[in-house]
Amino acid sequence: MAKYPPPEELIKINYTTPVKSWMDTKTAFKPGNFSYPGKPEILKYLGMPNPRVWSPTDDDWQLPPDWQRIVMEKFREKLKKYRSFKIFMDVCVRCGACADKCHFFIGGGDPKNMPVLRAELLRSIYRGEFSAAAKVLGKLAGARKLEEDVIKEWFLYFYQCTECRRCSLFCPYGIDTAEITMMARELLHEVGCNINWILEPAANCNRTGNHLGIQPHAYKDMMDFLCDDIEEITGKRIRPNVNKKGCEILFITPSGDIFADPGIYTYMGYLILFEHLGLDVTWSTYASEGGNFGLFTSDKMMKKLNAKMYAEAERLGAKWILGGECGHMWRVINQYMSTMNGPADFLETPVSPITGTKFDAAAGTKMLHIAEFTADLIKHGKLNLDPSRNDNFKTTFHDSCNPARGMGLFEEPRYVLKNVCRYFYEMPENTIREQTFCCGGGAGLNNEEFTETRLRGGLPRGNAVKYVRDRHGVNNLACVCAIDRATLPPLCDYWAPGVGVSGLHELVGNAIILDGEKKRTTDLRQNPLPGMEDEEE
Amino acid sequence: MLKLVDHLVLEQQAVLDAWFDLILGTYSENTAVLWKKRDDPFANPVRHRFEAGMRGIVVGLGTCGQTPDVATFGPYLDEIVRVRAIQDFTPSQATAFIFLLKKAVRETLWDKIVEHELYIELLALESAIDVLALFAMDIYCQCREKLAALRIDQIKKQYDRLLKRANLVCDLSAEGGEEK
Repeated sequence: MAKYPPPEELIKINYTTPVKSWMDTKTAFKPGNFSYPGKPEILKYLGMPNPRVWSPTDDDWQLPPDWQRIVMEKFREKLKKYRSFKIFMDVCVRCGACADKCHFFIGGGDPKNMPVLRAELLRSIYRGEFSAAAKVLGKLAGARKLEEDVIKEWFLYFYQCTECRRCSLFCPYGIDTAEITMMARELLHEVGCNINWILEPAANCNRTGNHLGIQPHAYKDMMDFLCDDIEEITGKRIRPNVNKKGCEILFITPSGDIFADPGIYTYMGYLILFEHLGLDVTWSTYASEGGNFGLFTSDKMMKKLNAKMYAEAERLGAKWILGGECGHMWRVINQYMSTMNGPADFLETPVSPITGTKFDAAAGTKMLHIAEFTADLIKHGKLNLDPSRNDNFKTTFHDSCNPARGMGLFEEPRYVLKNVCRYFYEMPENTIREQTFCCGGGAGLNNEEFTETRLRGGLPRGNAVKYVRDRHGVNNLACVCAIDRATLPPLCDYWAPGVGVSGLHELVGNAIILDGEKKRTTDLRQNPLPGMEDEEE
Repeated sequence: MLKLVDHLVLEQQAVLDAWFDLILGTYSENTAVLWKKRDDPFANPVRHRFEAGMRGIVVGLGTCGQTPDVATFGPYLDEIVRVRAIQDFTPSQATAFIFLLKKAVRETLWDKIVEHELYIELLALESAIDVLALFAMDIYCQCREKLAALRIDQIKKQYDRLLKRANLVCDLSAEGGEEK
């Protein structure tokens, strides 16, 4: 055989991964694979331990001197408090069903992003410290000691989990990996290792009622600004109730939608819908946040931020709460609210004042999802709609993880979408509904410094979007989550250029014909409507 | 007599298999096993994109003549480079997969090359692959620039509306006029 230098020698790269145990593979922090740590002033405000200036790329993370004792004590405490956690630690047989179900693993290939291995990061310590047999057997039994590198590894990988729970869907034992991540993050809090993108919004929400820290007058001001736009488009001046006592309904939605493009158009859609119905509804500048970053912080913080919404409903004397298009708000409502703050006996089971439908599924929480509310209106023929106004959109629907897997909301948004748009195409079956792929930005990871890893995790979703773009000419991805609306546009831009992102109620707002409105020439984004104006009314 | 590129097209599956194995060798062992096993295009988009890109490249090399052009090969290279550009690789690691095609061709077609004395054609093919490496570098850079642009865009979008509301930005209308 002729002599030639093999190409891998030429470029002097060893392509093969050294075969060593995952326990011996050191964690590497690089720009783009981690989120910035919590600022000391935010930690102090929240009363959280070990506030300091630090970076994950530092060698010394300035952990408290007795950090091992702290972590183990809290670990023990949590095992005692949550039986589910103890079961999740014990029951996994490492069958591997979840291994290739995480979007970060599918897109990036880092084995520690396999849910089984991510959980093993915690489980190995559990075995090493709490199981006598495993303590003796050590590595043979998958056990190890708690060292500083373990904390670093936890920080990297439990902040590379969006708590989307897709892996849990495939687990034969029903292990909720999101709850494992939540436990790990709570342990990390105890030694002051956390991320600012979660804590600052949580602190702001605690103080002013929303993630960005928008104060009441500014919130009202932003609303007026959006009402100006609606007036320009429809000729109708909407005067929404704000902090008004005695309304039947309190409406709560993520604050992300009041200031960020493209969420504002969804916000305008809500305003138009309520105006169309003449609904007895108020907005609140105090409960001006549906999102609950407490879910990504601690059970206490989650409980407190959730309670605020109910306290405001009680203060205003509302009968029930209508909730907007939000992701994790619905997971908190459906899976945790009743045991944390329920029952909300001072409220009533939601009944649509327009159709008379009683929403018994919301009897426990007294909080109704707007997609259910709107679907019911359409079913009863209560909305005057012109779907041709959305003819510029060939749309598909992204099931947001939490409403999909956390509350089983599959049909209602599709029903609404099909009634307000004439061109709707589903993505492949194993990428939607309960098998939906995460946008990569859930659980507080929708910050800009994490963009690279988020795009990596966005590959499976982007791949499915690209498929419907190429096959059906899809140019719009509708969704019912504010984090989606923030993270899917860059995801589409990278993986499926030419596909935009909208909320469900943006499309509803486009289609609704308000009484006495002027002839619309543009959609809510002030882009020209398809030449269909003459067909109105 | 068949040319080397004809052998390449005829035996493309063997070349593709060898090349795919070599590329997956750049990932962790566990990952390679899973990615080889699962062939659903939506459950395993990396394999799906790689295979689509690799087949396009191999078939393209069979028909492109002396000089590969970016219009033909760009989209196929993009399928692979776009993925590797955000997978925690260095620039050289992300784009070096293209050189592994040389190795796959030599290993798979070596007997044919010796039998028919196709050494000069092999040199030509390898030069064409070198050109593809340069295209791959361009695409890699475009992807990284895109990534940076997306980050900047996100920062802008976060505060855009608030700045506008506070009258802190000056909007230049499409006509070039100035309005608050």
